[in-house]
Amino acid sequence: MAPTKQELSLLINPLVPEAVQHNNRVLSSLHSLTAFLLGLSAGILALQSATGFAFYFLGTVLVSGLFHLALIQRSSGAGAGAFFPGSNGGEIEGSVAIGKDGVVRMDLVESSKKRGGFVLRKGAWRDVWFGGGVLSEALSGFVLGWTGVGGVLR
Amino acid sequence: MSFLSKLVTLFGLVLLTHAGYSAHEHTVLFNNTRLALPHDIIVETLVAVVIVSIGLVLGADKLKPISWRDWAGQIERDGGARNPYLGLEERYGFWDIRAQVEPVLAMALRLCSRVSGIVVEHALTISQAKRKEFGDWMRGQDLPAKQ
Repeated sequence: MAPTKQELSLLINPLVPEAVQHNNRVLSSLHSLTAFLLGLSAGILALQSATGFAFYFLGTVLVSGLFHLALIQRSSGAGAGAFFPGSNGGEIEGSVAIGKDGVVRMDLVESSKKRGGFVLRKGAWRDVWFGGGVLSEALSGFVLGWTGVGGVLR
Repeated sequence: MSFLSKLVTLFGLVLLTHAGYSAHEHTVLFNNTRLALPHDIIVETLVAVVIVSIGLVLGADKLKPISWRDWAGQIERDGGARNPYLGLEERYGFWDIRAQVEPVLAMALRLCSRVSGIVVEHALTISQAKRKEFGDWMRGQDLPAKQ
């Protein structure tokens, strides 16, 4: 069976597991902190049931958006692809294939050549917007803050 | 976390605490949870959320590039001190053990020969003395016979 594009990407552009772990940890700690904060404010605002969860999702979108903006700004425009492996397990943007002579070659997309020469991973924005435990640990932190403050204030 | 982001986060938290306290006073004062919160408290809470979020995002740790080549390039540009393979890249070649040991060995040999020279000399003196004693004794025995 011919190797998939993802396998070829990892072959010629390996990931650094330590860096991937570090980035995920930064993202998830940010989301836990802000989710608790959103919980506190939802409690202050006395939101109830669906409104509270809608508030949580809006707040998370705000935080993810800010994080993405900061990330783009700090990496001179490279974007999430340089820092998160993406949903395809590290597949790069651009083409990568085995040539007739058996040599694996990649061709980065034009945009990634312009952005500081970083290798960009496909679908990495999903990691920024949906990753970091937004629907698991961070959500439970939100509910904790929400119910806690709601109970104390009323 | 830089000073600016700490300051922004702290300011947002102060705003949030103030909003929370105001909401608490409001419920105590009117003793009615159905009465809607005043708009200024709502606005203050939302502004506080935005400010604290900005502070936390600014204060988040720096991300590391995940591609091997970007990561390795960054380490090289920093001077290679963080290189995890530094111990393998800069190590001693094979030692010419003779070149390392020869001076030491020569010194030890010289020392040995000096010590042994002294010992041999001493032994010789002793043995010479003994031989002379023995000779004298022999001669002493022989002398009366000759006479």
